[in-house]
Parts: sequence; structure tokens; C-alpha cells
Amino acid sequence: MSLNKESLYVFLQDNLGLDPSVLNEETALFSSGLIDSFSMVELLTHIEDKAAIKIGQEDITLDNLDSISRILSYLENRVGC
Amino acid sequence: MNGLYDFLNNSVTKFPDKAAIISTDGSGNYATTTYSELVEKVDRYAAYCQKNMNEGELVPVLMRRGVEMVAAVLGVMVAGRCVAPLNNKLKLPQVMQVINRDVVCDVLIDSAGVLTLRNARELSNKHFSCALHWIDSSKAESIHNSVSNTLASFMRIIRDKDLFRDKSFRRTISVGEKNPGACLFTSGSTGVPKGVLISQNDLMARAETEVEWYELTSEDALLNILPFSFDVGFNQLLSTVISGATLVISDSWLATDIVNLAAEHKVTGVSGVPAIWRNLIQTNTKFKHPEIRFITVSGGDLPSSQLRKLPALANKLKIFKTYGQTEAFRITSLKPEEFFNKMGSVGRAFGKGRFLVLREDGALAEANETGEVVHMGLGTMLGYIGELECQDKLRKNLLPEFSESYPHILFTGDIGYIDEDGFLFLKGRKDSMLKVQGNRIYPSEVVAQIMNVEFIQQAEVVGIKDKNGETVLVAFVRADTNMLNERQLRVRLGEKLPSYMVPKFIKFCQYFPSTKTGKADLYQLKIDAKELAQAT
Repeated sequence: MSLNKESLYVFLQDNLGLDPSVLNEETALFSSGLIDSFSMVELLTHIEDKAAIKIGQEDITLDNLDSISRILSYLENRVGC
Repeated sequence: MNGLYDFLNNSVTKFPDKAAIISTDGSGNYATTTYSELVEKVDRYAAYCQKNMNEGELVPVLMRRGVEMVAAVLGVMVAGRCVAPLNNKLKLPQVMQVINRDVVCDVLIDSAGVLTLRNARELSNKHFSCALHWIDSSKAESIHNSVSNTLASFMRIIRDKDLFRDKSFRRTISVGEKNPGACLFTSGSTGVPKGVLISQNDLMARAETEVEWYELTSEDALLNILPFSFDVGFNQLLSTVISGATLVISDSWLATDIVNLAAEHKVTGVSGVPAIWRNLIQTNTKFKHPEIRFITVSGGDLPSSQLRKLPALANKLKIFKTYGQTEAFRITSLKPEEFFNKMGSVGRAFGKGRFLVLREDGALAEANETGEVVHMGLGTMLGYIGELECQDKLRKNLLPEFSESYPHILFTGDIGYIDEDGFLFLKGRKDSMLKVQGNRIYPSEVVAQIMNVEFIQQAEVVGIKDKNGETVLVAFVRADTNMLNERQLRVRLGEKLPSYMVPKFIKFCQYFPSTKTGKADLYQLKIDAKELAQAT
């Protein structure tokens, strides 16, 4: 699958304009206010496209999505990829 | 007298081991702080402020929304200083506009706040005279040291090893009636935030009224989603601690997180802004637990088509609508039993506050007559901080029947009318009123009609001058575009609205720029509207 740590970093920096100097795997994305609700929709769409999945409403939680490492864990747990 | 301290002592005497605050430390793990633990923290902050900060200072608190921020905010107030809780999602320029003021000498800050300030040097060459009291620097990761060394070169930083050695808060503080207890910054339409000063007495009165209005008891658990920099969130905090209830502080605005957290902690009440309820409705998310008994719709209104869906969020759910502004906390509120009959109204007076609708000449409007909404009593601000004049906003009360009890009267800038039953209905902001082809209209009325069209999810309308200098309406609309296109929308609107109220330009979009409390950013929308009009 074509969604990994590096490609997420690139997306967050290039498409969502996040500052690389504060961005690491554990940086809180939504709860810190770095990403607003519009950017979140863009991020979800990007994840769904690249990982070829559909994210159900019940999975849209901070636990699953609030940092790069959480997103990657979520994806691993969903499909063994 | 120190009302807040008395209330806190009362709560800790009655319920020392009860959960006061349930919040995370930033990494998603929720922990409980009891009343006795909370008051111990409050005492430390109060002792620290008493020792290190002068009376009359404005003390900003720039911390993530959790138990430390709660303790810091309450501690500053208990020590008789004026607290300015800041939204930790603010960007650097907005934070600097607050802490650069002369009246600020000390700022309580945590690691999240330090990160926000990291680029401060680039913003200004001025040497900042305020001291940053970094309350958790010893727990910060090493990445912060490089940031803090940069900041230390032009701001005084007092790290946490120097803090809180002494928790002996000496209760000698007697807070005068007019003493400002808090300053809440509101983003004015000019873009420069205005600091609204509120007396400690009024803050306590607001909290007590809210306890009565929502029938709060120590059995309640309230879900806090709104920032403490916002008067609704701030009052939620105060009414919780004085009633001995529990405050569950949510990190997330996501619909699923809200209902899950509420279920886990058996939340009984949630205060939310329209954006939150709209999100729940549109994702078809409902509460999952039986203990939830009320919600509030605050900081804005929803169209009837969406309000009607709120009772379905939970069994026997009571809905309170509230209306106010930072300068006049809660002018009216609609009670649950009034919800179905007066859904379009924002209700009647909240507690001991009084409101009226005045004609342009200052006389009282008749029933159903439109005029400006004015407010007196509970919830009225002391004034704006700094040299900012508030003469237009807060005026000497010249109405003979009221001037003795209420020396000042607050002009809200909102236009509305009161019906025969005394319920207030709003038409829109006075300064949003437009003249299109000679007709007076309020954009909110056009929005209301757009929202009544099927498949429309969100709409905003602004007025701008087109290439000919004429005022035209531009509508931004989020809709299910598989089911509705522009032509169909225009046909629907034409059935309900006179031609001058049908927007000249309609733009379908997925996203609306918004403010920190989820309201549409009309300033940005006007810019977008101008571009749209120029391009067409």
C-alpha cells in the first residue's frame, strides 16, 4: 500500500502546510488545532484514496487519527498491511 | 468577600473525594482530579500569584485545556488578579496582541503555550518585558529546550523548579464589587481582539444563575468542549465548581469522540455551538447513554430544519437555546418546555438580566416591532481593556424606568423584535444590514430560506459591492450536489423570496472558513465573494 510514514509527512507539509520543525510522529494534529475540520476532511480523503479503504464514521476519533503514529496504527489494525 | 474561594471551600468540604475535573494530559489518557486535589492546586497557584504578581495586573493563561489550566485560572481569580484565559489554538500574532499590552507583566504558560510562542522573535524586535512562568518545563521534552533558549533571550522565563514551593495562600484577599475577575478577548470585526472586562461578582452571579437555570447539582457531569476563553465555556467551568459537579474536558470536537466520552463518564449535560450540533446531525451520530439530560445551543443559532432534529439525539433530551455576546453574557435563553412552540426565538431574559428592543430614537419598540436589542444587569461587562472607548456599546442608561436599578445599558448591535408573549426573535446584526435595490435586508433571513431547501447542509450570505458599485448578495452553499444544482436552488428560492433577496451569485463549496468558535468567518467570505464577483 502506498501510505506510509514518509508519504504522510509529505502530505501534511505540502498539502496542509504544516511546519516541519514541529511535526513528528507523535505531534497532536487535531486536538492541538494544527489541523482544522476542513483540513481533516482533506486528510481523510487522502488516507482513503491512498490506502484504498473507506473510513466509517465510528472510526473518526482522535484515538485513531490524532497523530501520524496513530494513523499508521489504525491502518495496520484494519488490514494487515 | 471572596465569592469564588468560599464556593470552592464549600465544594471541597462537602465533596472532597468527588471527581471535579476529568481531563487528559495531552496524550489521550484521561485522569480524574478530585475536589480536594483541585483546591490544593488552586491554593498553590493563588499563593504564587499573591507573591509574584501585582494587584491590578492582567494575567494571561496560555495552556492546554486541562486540569492545570483550570487550577491556574481559578488560582489567579482567587488571588484577586484579573485572569485572561487564552484559547490555546490561537496563532502567534493573536497571542502577542494580548501579552504585549502594558497591563500584562506575567503570563502563566505550559509547554504547549511555549511552542506557540516559538517564533515570537521574528514577529517583533521589541524586548518583551513580561515574564513567562513556565509551569511544566521539567516535564518538557528536549525539543523544547532549544525553543526556550531562544525565547529566554528576549523574554524572562521562570521555570517550574522555582514555582510552587509554597502553597500557603493567605486568605486576605477581599475582592471589591467592581474588581475585574476576568478579561475575555473577543475577535472584533476589525480583526484586532478587544478585551472584555468582567467583574468577579458578575462572574459568580452568572455561574449561580446557570446552576439554577440548568438545575445543576453535584450529581451532574458536564462535557466541556468549548474553550475557557469563550464566555460559555468559562461559565460552564465556574458553574461546575460551585455546584460540586464534575467537568469532563474533551480534547475533541469529533462527533464520535463526543458521544463516546459522554457515555464513558455518564455525562448529563453538554454545552455546544451550532457547528458541533450540525456535525452530529449530519453524521447521524446520537448519544449512547441514558444519563444525558440536556444540551445547550449557544454562540449562534441553527435553522429550524436542524433544530427539529436535536431531540432525536437522546431520549427525553432537554434543549436550551442561549443568546448573548461577550459584552453581555447571556441576554436570553429559551427553555426546553418553550422549544417546540417558540423554536425560532432565542427566548426570554436569563435570570435577573433585562433586555429591551429600542427604536432608533431610543424609545421602546412595541410588540413585534423591529429595533436594536439592548441589555441591562446580569452579564453586562465592566468595559473594554486598554484605552478602548466603549461609549457606543455601553452607555449611561437614560431610560427613566430603568436607570435607577441599571445605571448602564449595553447596545448589542443586534436587530430583533419581541413578540406578544415576550419572546425575542433576532433578525441579524445591525452592521450586516444591507440595502439591495433600495430594500433593507438581513443576510441571515436569506440564509434561513436557503437552509429550508432540501439537500442544503450549510449556507452563508454576504453582501458586497459589484463592478458597478451596487450591493449584491453572494451565497456560499454546502449541499448534496448530486441532488441539487444552482439552477434548482434558484427556482426554490424564487418561490419563497422576492427577487432582490435571491443572491446574485451562488457558490457551491465543501468548506467554510471559520472562527475559533466554529462561526463562519464572514470577513474571509467577503474577500472570497469579491473575487467571485470580479471573476464573473
